[in-house]
Amino acid sequence: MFLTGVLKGIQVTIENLFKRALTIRYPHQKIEAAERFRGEHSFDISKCKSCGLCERICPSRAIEMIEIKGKKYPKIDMGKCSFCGLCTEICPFGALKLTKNFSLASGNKKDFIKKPRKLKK
Amino acid sequence: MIKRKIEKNKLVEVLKKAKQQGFEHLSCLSVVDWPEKKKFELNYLIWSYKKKKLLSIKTFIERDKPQIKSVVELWGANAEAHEREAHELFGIDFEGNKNLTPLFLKDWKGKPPFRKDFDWRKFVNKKYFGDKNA
Amino acid sequence: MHETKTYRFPIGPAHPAMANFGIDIEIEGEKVINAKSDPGYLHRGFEKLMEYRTYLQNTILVGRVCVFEPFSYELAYNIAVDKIAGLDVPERGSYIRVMMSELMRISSHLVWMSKMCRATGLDTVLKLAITYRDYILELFEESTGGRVYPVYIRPGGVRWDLPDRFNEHLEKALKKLEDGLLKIDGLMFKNDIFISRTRNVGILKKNTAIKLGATGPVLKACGFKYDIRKDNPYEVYKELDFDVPVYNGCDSYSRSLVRRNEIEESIKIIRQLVKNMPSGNHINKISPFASLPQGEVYSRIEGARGEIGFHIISTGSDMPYRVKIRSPSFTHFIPVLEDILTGSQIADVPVIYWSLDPCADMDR
Repeated sequence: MFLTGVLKGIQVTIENLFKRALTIRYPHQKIEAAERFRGEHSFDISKCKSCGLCERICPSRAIEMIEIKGKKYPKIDMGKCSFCGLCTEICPFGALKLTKNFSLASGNKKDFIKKPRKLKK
Repeated sequence: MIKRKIEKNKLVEVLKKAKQQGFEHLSCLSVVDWPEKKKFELNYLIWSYKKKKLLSIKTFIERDKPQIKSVVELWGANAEAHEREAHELFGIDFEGNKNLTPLFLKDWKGKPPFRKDFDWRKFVNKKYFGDKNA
Repeated sequence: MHETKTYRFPIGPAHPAMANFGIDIEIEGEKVINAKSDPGYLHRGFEKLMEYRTYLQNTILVGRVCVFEPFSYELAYNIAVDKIAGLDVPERGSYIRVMMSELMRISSHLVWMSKMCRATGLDTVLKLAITYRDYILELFEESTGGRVYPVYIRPGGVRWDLPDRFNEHLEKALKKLEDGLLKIDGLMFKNDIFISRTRNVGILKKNTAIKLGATGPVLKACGFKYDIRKDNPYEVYKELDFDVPVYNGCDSYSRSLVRRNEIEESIKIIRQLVKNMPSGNHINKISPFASLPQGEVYSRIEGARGEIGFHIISTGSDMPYRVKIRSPSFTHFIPVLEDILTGSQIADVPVIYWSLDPCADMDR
């Protein structure tokens, strides 16, 4: 009774044995992320006018404005960030952007707190 | 949506009548806390499969003595689960519901957490950050 | 030696056949005589969190209620906010919203398929279904920027317009899905092993289902034709032509078939949407910190698991005063599951459990 079911399963397995694998060998090969992908932030400190809108809109409260030479710039806690992209949308000067970089893992807790100067342009 | 505001002691009577008229699906029981008015607002949202209409029955109970008759006799275990949730998160007692045991929060001893005057910031600071900022 | 007739033990929450959720079961021999649900392991207090965030910030939060169908929650929440704010959604925005939530329904049902097959021991379909789901996730990544949490629907429309070559990629993915569904049919729905494992297992009669508040595929499998998309249409569902699959079996097999056929219907809906997609504006924007007028709204939509509702009360500030989320799994996994499990066999527990399609939305 169950023989047809078992045979069908084996048939699919054999069919797939000779097909190209769908997965890739990750660290060596990479799939390019989509244009709209929301990854790590990039920050252009020369464009920032210290308005603080990004701090106000962040739903996870991951952004904190800290003082550098008398002006305030966003410090981002990647551990709290949910990569929604609201801060980039509200930024009137285009200083904050989301890049395609998704490999943010680190063994050190301090690496997740990105000070304004540590964020790439 | 048909909206009706009723007295709290007429609740079971009204809901029974509504159920007989075809409002069979208890979709949601939503509780709202109004500390200034010293009231809890209870919304019974009921859908009728036949009439394709939504009925919202609203009733207010005292915040100091939050008691109301249970509707377990009408919707059985479904009403029981909704009332358990309201009991746990807002501290409302449903007379006639024998199973008001904790649902989500097993060892909760403090104030019901969804009340407006529950200070969650203080609670979190005390519990997870060792009372540093509390 | 003790002589015991009944034996109590918990299944879950840390159990391969469970999803962050436990059941306390009392058995006599092989028969379950009493079952008590034990939810709360994923209680994150969304309703309270939303009281402290603005309407726009909440759109990021709501999707997290259920991992497998964030779009349905985003849609239900945003319909409610639109009603409170009195916002009109442009036609194109509405079309995109529906298209995305139908894609989400397919993706959610595919995840269910893989889990259902894990419960019945058909591991091939587990991998196949997850593979086909990935084609949809790629579409999400392309159009919304997020694979699992899209954060795409906004009060007043959708966040971005569709990308340039989206329709082409969509059609390709749908073709692959149709082929895949045929393949899965042979392995799962027409497979004797699957049928014997699910037929007449977990009976839920129509009257009990209505009384206990079952919705969605669970109710449709009881022979009760009810779909919010048809009976209380929202967005553009009024203009669309689709069927509601209904089966009379009342068992796990019927519930499986309903979900399988819903995928087909969703593909049909998406094709219609692509064909009739109007051009123009996709969003009527509101200010991110806007205060909305006073009001009370209850919005309901048909999610993949059943009825999703948002009861929002606004007192005129920029944050909601109270949000109540009505989630389908709450009623499916407390009253309905306890009712079905009582009297079933212990070996059938995972099958019954997965046939109801669990998700984290029972805790919220």
